[in-house]
Amino acid sequence: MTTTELLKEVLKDKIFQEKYGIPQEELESISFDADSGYPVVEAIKTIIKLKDSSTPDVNVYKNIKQNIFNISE
Amino acid sequence: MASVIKSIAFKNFYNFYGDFENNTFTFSEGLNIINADNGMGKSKMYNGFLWIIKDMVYDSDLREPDGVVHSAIKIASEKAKNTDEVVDFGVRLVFEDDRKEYTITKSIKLTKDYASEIGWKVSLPRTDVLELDLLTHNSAIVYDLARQEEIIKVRLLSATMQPYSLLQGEAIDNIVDLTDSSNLASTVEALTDLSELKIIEKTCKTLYSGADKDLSTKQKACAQNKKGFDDAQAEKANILKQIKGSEESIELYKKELQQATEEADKYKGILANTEKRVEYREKLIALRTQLGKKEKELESLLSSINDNLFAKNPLPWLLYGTEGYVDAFIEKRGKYTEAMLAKKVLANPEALLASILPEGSPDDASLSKMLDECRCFVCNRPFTKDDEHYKHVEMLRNRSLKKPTTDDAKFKAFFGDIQKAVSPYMTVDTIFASIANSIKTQKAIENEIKTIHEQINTTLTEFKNYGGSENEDSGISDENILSAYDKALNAINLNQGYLTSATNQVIKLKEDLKACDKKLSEYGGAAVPQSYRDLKEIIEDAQIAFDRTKQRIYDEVIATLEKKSNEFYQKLTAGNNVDGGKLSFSKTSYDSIQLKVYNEAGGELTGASEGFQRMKKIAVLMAIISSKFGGGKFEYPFIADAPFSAFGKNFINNFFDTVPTVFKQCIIMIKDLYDVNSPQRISEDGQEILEKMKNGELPGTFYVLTVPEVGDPVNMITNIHSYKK
Amino acid sequence: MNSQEFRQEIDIKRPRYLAKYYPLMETISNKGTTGGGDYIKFGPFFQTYMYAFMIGYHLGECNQIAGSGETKDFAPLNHWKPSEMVDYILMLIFSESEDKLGFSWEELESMNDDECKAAVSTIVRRIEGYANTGLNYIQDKFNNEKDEFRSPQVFINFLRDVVDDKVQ
Repeated sequence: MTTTELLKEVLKDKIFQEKYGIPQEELESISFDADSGYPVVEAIKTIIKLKDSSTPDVNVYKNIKQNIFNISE
Repeated sequence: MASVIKSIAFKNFYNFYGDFENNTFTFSEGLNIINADNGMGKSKMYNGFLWIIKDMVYDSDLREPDGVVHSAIKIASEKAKNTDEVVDFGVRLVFEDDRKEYTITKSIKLTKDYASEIGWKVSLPRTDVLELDLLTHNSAIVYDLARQEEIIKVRLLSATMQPYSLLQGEAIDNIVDLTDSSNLASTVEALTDLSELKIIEKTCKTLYSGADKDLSTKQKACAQNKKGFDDAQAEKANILKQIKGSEESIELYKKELQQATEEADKYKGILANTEKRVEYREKLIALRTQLGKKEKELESLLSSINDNLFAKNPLPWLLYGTEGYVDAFIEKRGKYTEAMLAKKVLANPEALLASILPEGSPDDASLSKMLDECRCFVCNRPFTKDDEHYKHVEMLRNRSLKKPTTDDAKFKAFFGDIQKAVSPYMTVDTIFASIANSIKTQKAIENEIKTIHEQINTTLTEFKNYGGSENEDSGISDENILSAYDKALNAINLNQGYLTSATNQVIKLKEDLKACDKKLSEYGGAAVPQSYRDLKEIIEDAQIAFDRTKQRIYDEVIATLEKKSNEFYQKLTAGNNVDGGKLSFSKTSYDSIQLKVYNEAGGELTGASEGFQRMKKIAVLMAIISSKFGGGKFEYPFIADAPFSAFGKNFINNFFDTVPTVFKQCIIMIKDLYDVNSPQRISEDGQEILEKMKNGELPGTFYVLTVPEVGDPVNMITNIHSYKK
Repeated sequence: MNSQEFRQEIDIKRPRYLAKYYPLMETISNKGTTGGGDYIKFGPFFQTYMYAFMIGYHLGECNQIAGSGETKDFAPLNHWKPSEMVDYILMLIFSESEDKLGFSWEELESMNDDECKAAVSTIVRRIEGYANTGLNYIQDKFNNEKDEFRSPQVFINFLRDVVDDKVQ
């Protein structure tokens, strides 16, 4: 499936509504084009996008760590 | 990207004698039917597809696939081999995808070699691929081997999908092996692209490990109680090590459990058929004993034929056609006797006359009485014994007794002995009937032998269908199957126990881990930046989300698979009197998919007939294809040498209604639409399908294959008749 | 010479055949052994000979072998089995007309011993002649239709052929 389809599938998980309180309509409108404002969503987007282009795992981690959580090396 | 096969052609390929142009089949999207009786080239045609796609053919003698080079002598047309010293044979397939048309030709050359054991030199196989751009109509020869491979194994028919696109009657049991749950699972994964999620799953483990390590480093840097922190960390490392160990054990137990379950299922299936196997085995023994007796009877009859030529009883066949010969001899002997008598009389007429008394003389009885009473009855006067009167009467009596004979014929006894010896052969007309009877008996025994052979073949097929093996050494005997089944059940119980135990262990260890993490967090204190904690938590949650998504998609596909399998299964078995049950797919504890069949009451249905087993497989096959996550028709051709012999008319109709809804193109080789009594050799059902094709209701093509009625098997060729192109 | 002596004179005779037919005789006879080989076999040589005689007799040709080449013989007539078949053969010869035999039965009666012996020779020559014709026929078949000899029916078939052709 495409990255968009995969993202949509993952966001169906109850954890986003139950733990993070993200409303369903908001979850349905999330895309790769715009920042969702939710680190957990952004982390998922990053993983999906970078693995689609076969980025090494260590670089995926670096990306999330630096860009989402502002943790420098 | 869909591929559609436009044509297949054969050159000196089995019964398809002649060049490619003489043996071409063109196909379209939809249903393409090749209708032929057994032995007319149907399965050979399927072998053509197999050669192009897999460089193999199915050897019906060995009942298994074989490489084309190994089978080369069998593949090459017998007629071509008898005609020429160099024989080129091969297959040519043309297919197109969205933009290009490809012509794939595979061939082998045989050169006569009297010195070799097989009589021929076999060349290496040759593959030629021509690519034609459908837009520009430019064509190019594809020399690059890797590209040739890609064209055949990806564009024509993807290697992953091959098992589901190539369906061959006798080999169906290897396709969609429903006892191999991991096979089914990996196919479902391929169809659902779950491989991406599996990669992400692995990535998340790395990410978590990284976040955990970073947090830990930060915690250590901020910890006041370094020793306490180190101890806790060492404890955590130990727990992690134990978790890893337990997880590895879990994987091992899962594998063992899977193997044991598959073994148990295999034996369960075999057990269910044991009774049938015993029945057919006994039947085979009885038939073979009967055959042996008949063959002995025939041998005895044939070996006695020449003996009959000289047998005295009833009459020797050597005297066939000798009617009247003995009569002629007897007649000649009669004439000889008369001639000899006449000669005798002519030589001594008085002797003949002297032997006759004058008229009115007393007869012999009276003369004898006269002698006894010593009295003459003529003059009524007595006489005494041995006087002159007595002697006169005595002379008269003796003269009449002495008749003229032909004992003087020297060779009378010679001819008489011959006549006596041959007189039993006066009437020889029964010999013809005797010979005819013998030939009739011979033919009857030969027919009986032929019938028994056919019965043996049918029984053997059924015997093998129920898992029977003629070689008792190679398989497990029926007596050992039960103990092997018990052993497998024990292994299941054992590994299930280990698995449960290890799983519980991991749960406990993870709780310990949580407690340990809490401890480490406390040691780290508030100085540790929240972002580190957040990073770790979010990655953990992402991991959970991805894992649950994978499970969900998997479960959805299984549910869809189950639904569609049952839909197809019901359609395929519609109209049958026997309930085939309901198919149920379930994930097992070892992450594979198991398929069981349940009856209406919910009890497991095992030991279904061979027909239903195959329908089950075809239903699952079609469900797998049409359950592709995302839907749509299957984009590769479906090629089947259809295994319909065990099924009824319903199934065939259901099959032809259902299959084209799943596959864009179907090429089906079938014998069940063949009717030898119809002028076109097409049965009523076949005619219905042909009509639908002709009036546009059903897209496709219809071919019938025949061979000449009285054919020399060596020179037999297949004739192709196209009823719808 | 009386009947008995005359018969004895015949019984000691060993009818001959041309040596060129020896391989054939060997191939289709098994000299007292049974079974074996590719070709259907008769029993002893005398059976083959009697069979050949019948073939020749049905063909109606008596091709006497005198002066035709080297000859071979085997057992005397009184050893041939079944003896009734020997009588039958003698019956056939004696049934022939005077111009074929060269004498009539009546003339036989008045022959002296030497003349009787000569008559016996004539009889045996005629037996040889028909057998010779038969052997030639079988040899021809063997040369041109060898596969026929693999069929258990081969000798019946030949017999039927010559008889049925005669009827036609």
